[in-house]
Order: sequence, then C-alpha cells, then structure tokens
Amino acid sequence: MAGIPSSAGGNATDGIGKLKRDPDSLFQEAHTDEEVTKALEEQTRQRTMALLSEQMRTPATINSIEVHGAKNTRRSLLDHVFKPVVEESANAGTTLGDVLERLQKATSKLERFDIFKPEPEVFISDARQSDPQAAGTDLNISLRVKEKSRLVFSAGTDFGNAEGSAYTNAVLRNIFGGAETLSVNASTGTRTRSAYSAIFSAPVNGNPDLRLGVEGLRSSTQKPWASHEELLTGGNLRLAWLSGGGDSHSLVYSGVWRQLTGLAPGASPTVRADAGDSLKSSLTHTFTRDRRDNPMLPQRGYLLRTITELAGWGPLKGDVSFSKTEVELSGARPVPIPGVQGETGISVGGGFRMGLLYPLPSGYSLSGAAMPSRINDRFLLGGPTDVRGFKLGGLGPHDSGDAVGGDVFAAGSVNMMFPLPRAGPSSPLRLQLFANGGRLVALKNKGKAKEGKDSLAMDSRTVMNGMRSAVSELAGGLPSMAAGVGLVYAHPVARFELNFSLPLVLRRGEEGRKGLQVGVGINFL
Amino acid sequence: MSGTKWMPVPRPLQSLFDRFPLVTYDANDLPARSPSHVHPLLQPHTSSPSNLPTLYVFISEDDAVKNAPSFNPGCLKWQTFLKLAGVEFHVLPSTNHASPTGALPFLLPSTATTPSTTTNPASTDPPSKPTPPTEPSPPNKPVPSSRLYTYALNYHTRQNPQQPQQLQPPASLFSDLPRKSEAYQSLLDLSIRNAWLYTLYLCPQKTHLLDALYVRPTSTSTWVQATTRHQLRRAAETEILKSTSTSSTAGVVNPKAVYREARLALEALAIQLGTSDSGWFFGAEQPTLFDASVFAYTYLMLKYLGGDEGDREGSLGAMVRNAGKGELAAHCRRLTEMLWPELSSELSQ
Repeated sequence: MAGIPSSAGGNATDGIGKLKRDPDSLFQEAHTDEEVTKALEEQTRQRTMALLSEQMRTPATINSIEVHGAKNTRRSLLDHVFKPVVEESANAGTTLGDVLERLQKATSKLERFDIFKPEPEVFISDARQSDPQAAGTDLNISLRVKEKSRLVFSAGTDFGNAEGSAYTNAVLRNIFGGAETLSVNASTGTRTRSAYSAIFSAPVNGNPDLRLGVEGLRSSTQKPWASHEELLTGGNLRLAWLSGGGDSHSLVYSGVWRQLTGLAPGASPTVRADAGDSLKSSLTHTFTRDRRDNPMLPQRGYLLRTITELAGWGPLKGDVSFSKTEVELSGARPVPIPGVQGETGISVGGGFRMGLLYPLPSGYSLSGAAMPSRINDRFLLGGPTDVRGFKLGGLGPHDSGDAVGGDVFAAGSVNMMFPLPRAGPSSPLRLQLFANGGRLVALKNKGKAKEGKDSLAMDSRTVMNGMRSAVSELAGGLPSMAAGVGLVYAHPVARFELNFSLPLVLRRGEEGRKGLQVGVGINFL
Repeated sequence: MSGTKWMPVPRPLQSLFDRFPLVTYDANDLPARSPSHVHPLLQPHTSSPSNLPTLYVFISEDDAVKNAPSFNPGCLKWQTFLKLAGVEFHVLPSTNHASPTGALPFLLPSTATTPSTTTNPASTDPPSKPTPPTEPSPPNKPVPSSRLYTYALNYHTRQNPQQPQQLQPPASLFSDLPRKSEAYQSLLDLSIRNAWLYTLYLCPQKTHLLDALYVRPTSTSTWVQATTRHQLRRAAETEILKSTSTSSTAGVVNPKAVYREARLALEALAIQLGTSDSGWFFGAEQPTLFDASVFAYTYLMLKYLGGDEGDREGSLGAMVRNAGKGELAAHCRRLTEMLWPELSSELSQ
C-alpha cells in the first residue's frame, strides 16, 4: 500500500496544530477527506483493472457450451448463434478476454430474438474438472436462459398520430422454435372503426437483425377531413434489417384493395369522383436513422427518415402507378447557459419534411400516358402533430371543405423548449415556443383538352411540366404558417402537447386553428 | 377541441384573433383528377362541369361525354326522365360507393343555386354569371333518386315562366297516372327486373357482358374483379329470391319461371300500350315517368340482350321485339329518336 500522498500538503499552515492532535482523529480526518477517498477509490479501481486485464490476457479456449432452459427453441437457431463462438478458427490461441467478448456478442444476439428474458446466467468452469483430456486452457461454459412466455395477450389503449384507439393483441412467440412470431391484432378507435391484422415474422438464417414477415390486414378508417371512409383489405411482405450503427431498413411489398366509400352528404365532387375501388401494388423502402437521445422529447441528436415507394409500374401492376418519395429530418441541440453547469433543459429543435408524388405510366413504359394521383395516395399536411395551428389536413387544396391532398409538399418547424420553473430539466414537462409552416401543392393537368376515355391521362411531358410548376409553386409566396406557445409532456408512450397558436399566413380554403389545440402522437414535426 | 365554442371569446381577444392570419393568398388549385379542376374563370371558353347539375350513373367514360344512355336500368330511367323534363345536366361515370344512399343514380345540383341559364352544354358562351372564386359556395347536397321526381318538378316550374328556347317540357309529364299504372309498375319492378338481373348477373353465358359493364371498370386486378363479380352475383340472387316465391324452389333461382313471368309481363305491357291512342302509356299526351321506366328496360334489353342464339329461353331482346304486335320495340324507338336522335340507327335493325 502506497502512502497517502500529496493530499495533506495543502494544509501546511495548520501542520503544527495537527501535530498536537491525537493520531486517531488524524486518521479519521484522512479518511473523511473527499480527495483522499477519491484517490483511494481510483487506486482500487486501477488495481482491479490491472488484475482483470492480466486475467483477460490469460490464454483461454472453449471446450463446450451448454445452453439450459431453451426448451422450445430449435437447436439450429442456437447453432446459428453459438457456432461463431466455438469455431476452430476463432477458438485457437485466444485469451479469456476474447472468449468473454464473443460470449457477450452471442448473448446479446440471443436477446434480440426477443424469445428469452434478458441477461442469462453464465457459468464458466475449468474443463479439466469434467474432462481429463481437456487442454489446460479449456473452459466449459454453461448458459441458463429463461424463455419468455410463448403466448401473450394484451389489451389497452394506444396513441397514434392524432388518434386514440383501444386494442387487443395476441402474440405467439417462438412458434416453431426458430423465434417465429405471430401477432394478431384487433383494434377500434376514434377514427379507425375497426382494424384487424395478423403478422407472422421470422428471423432469416438465424439472424435476429434480419427478419422476414408476412402480414394480412383489414381495416375501416373514417376520414372526416375528406368526408369519406376507407376500407382496406390486403397484405404485405416485409424484410427488415438493421445495418451498422443502428440504422434500420425495411423493404415492403404490399398489395392493398382500397375502397373509398361511405361518403358524407356534403362530400365534394373531387371525393365523389375518386369513390370506389382501387388496388395498389407497391414496393416501399424505408430507412430510419434515429440518433436522438429521447424520441418523445429530444434534447440532442437527429432523426433522418426516407420513404420511397414505387407503385404500379412494371410487374407491380395494380390500378395506381406512381413513385412517391418522402424525406424527414429533425434534430435538436441543448442550449448552454453561461454559468450554469450540466443540462439546462433548454433546447432548440427543428424539423423538415418534404415529399413528392410522381405519376407514372402503368406497364413497362416510361413515356406513356400517366393517370394523375387519387385522393388516397396524395399527401396531407397540417394537424396538431404536423404543422401545428392547422386542422388535420388543413393545408393544401380544398374542395368544398374537403382536404383533397396534394402531390408535392414541404414543411418545416422550429421550436425552443424551456423546462418549467419548478419542475426542472429532468422532468418530462416543457414549455415550447414554435413556428411552423408548409406548402402542399397539387399537380395540375394543364394540357387538359381531350375528352372521353383518356380525358384524365397525362402524357409524360405534361406530367414533367406539371411537376416542375408544382415544385416551383412551393416557393411561390410565403408558406402557410402558424406560430404559438404550448406545453409539452413527454410520456414514455406518447407525447402530449397543448398549444395556443395563431395562423400567420394562409391560402383561401386552408383551415387554420385560432386558439388552443391538443396534439397526441409519437412522431411530431 | 372541435370548433364548438364553450364560452364567448372576450372582445379584446376576439379583435386580436380577427387580425390573423396576417396574409391570405389565393386558394390552392385542385388536383388534376378533380372534376371541378377547370375553373370557370380560368378557362372561360370551356363550359365548366360545375355550372350544370351532374347526374352520377353507371356509364362508360366515352358515353358519359356524349350523355349517352346509361347501361343500368335504374340510372337510365332517371336519365331519361330528366331529359324528358328538359333538365340540363352532365353525366359522370360513378360507382355505388359515391352515392349518399349506396345506390346510383344521384344528382349533384349545380354550384349556383338557381339552375343555369346556359341552355346548351356545348355552348361556347361564357357563363352568364360566374361566381367569383374567392367565395367558395357551400357544397350542395346530393339529390338521391327518390327525390329526383320532385327535383325535376321544381326545375320545371322555375324554368316555365322564362320560356327558354329549348324543348318545353310538357306539364303532362307530371300529371298523375291512373291507378292501374301501379299494377303495371309492379310488373316492371318484379318480373322484368328479375329477368334482367338473372340474365345479366347469373346467366353464365352473359359473364362477358357483366364483366365489361360492371366488373372491369372497378379495377384491373383479377382478385378485385373476382370478388366484385361474386358480390354482384350474390346480391342479384338475393334480390331475385326476395321478390319471387313461385320461381324459386328452396333458395335456388328457377330461370324458366323467371323468363315465363318476364314474357307475360312484357306481353301485358305491350297490350296496354296497344290500347293507347297517343302511343305513350295510359294514353298520356307526352311520355311520362312510366314510359321512362319501361324504356330503361326495353332499350337495354334490345341493345345488350338482342339476339343471343345460344339462349334456350329465347333472349329478352327477342321477347321485347315479339311482345304483342311489336308495340314495345316501337315505343323504345320513338323515345330514342326523341331524346338520343344520334343513336336511333342503332336500334333500327
């Protein structure tokens, strides 16, 4: 044990006094002195580290791995996980550190299947105890896992963007022992009259980060902002994977029969014209990079999401044909206050979204005539979780009070968050100042002269020119805007906002909201 | 947080609210698919669909532009009647989903509250009283088929004092029909309708026709088409079974009985028509709603079910032609010449 060093040096002036005191109290003082304690702790830590790293460097190899408790799990799935740990190439001339690292990787992989309870018990023993022929470095490893229950029923309430719903859900885990999951869901809500879905998904090739899923769904949703109800029947095939750094991708093929029906008496001619059936057959890629510290109340970090959809073109067929792209970027950073240490809880944030729907000719042609978009494919903009200070779908083209949507949009928001005076920065409550705005523009058919069967169809040149003028119209004049103040409460499940806002810039027909507005959702602009 | 006011907004707050929005631009243009896309002020040389009432019917897009007859008897009846009443209207292809009652036809009145003063839909004159685009008029309530008679009557009385140069609808159009017409109406609504439903929807030889008229327009997807076809057939079957007790045994449609009743009904109508001096039903001076109802079936039967040789029961078109002394076919031709002169050659074989 090295002596207690310099810490006493600072107290040279009362050195004489110290001499006069009895050794017991001096000892006491030395031990209660903060700096001394710190130094002691640091020393202990370093010693442990040194000991550990020495241990870690001792040669070690794996003789056997036993997994206990995986009663319903297929051997092949476990093989996928533990093969890399015991492979000849990886298991020669390794140290204990390597072994533990590989083991740690394997158990975290096991956890991501979501069929075992987290943190399995790991026992490591010298292989020579049980196997006299084992090498001196050989270890026997034994893992005790606990399977999660295979059948889970749940019921509750859910908050989507501007919609509340009640659901019942049954999840069958690990059906065939390969971490396959079947989830059956039924819900009803404020807007979704009824929704049923069944999703079966399974990891591909024993990889928890690559899952293939099949989903069947049927739902009926009321869309009062456009005076109709939409029935969906269809299915999709989803391949989802994680790439390095926690970025997630999904590639989805979906075929959905949409029925636009149940029109309100005052439905506009635009909605009436689109009533009826259409089949959308599309391929969608979604990329998400979420680097926010807290998705409900981000203080720092950013979110990038891109959605690219191709519908109807080429082998996809179906009744609608278009490409649809949407990009979302949002971020936040804390604002330091000079003189205040640590988190102030004050942050500035911003969000930007844009999207473009480009009608394509059906079949394999690139230059043939394309049909303009339908109301159920077009973008909507505005609402308490979107461009605040507007009604749901409040921005963009309106026909007789119906939000009929647009083909191109851009929207942005800036906000500043302050912690409430008494709640402090660690509470989930914030006061926010915000300004947001956007433009939603429809593609027009300027070359509309033909009549009859193809009166709606647009040739590729018209589409191109129409898109160009629609995009340039985004910048025509100020965007429709609103600003206000509000309260934010970030519950782990959803974020609640109560805002007071006033519209600053509007287009005629657009529906702003003056005064209070409540927003509940998981994804805010 | 809907628009309902819980309490009156204080005056200073109200005056603050009134100052917002600070800037208001013109309205956004509507999407390309929107029927009201072409604004009357933007393109004054084209007649905007929005200044005429629109009748939503089952029809192909090509036929809709020409205001040609719908292929659905229920729609054709009212299309014919409105034309007889001198109502100017556009026809739009649609589906039952678009209708407030769940069935076509229905009529969407023009955005202007008074009937348009433009007399010809193809007129190149600019709309006489264009409403400024800054004042969006409240959406008009659609008129379901059950109220189309009243609509036509109101239209007629409003138009009458102005004496437009167009064909003046006769007052007799709205005169009361004799009591016995109800019995004949039920022949149409039951026997003839059932035969039409059976032939078009259930008869396997007519699948191509059903597909062309009702199934293919819904979607290009074979899955959607198959489901739609199945649903249509089930609905037609239920309709027939609902109204027949004799022609069905144990929930199965008996085609022989259906056709026998149809033949009898057509015969009875032909005889009734034969007793009329004017050539219209019940001796009316001008064709009435009843004439329109009969025409809706006879025209479609002659056009689509004219002479299918493979039909053992004899085609419905042939039944119409052979009923009585051919009065029904002649009646049909007369009405076609009157309302769709350009189509009269089609039926004159």
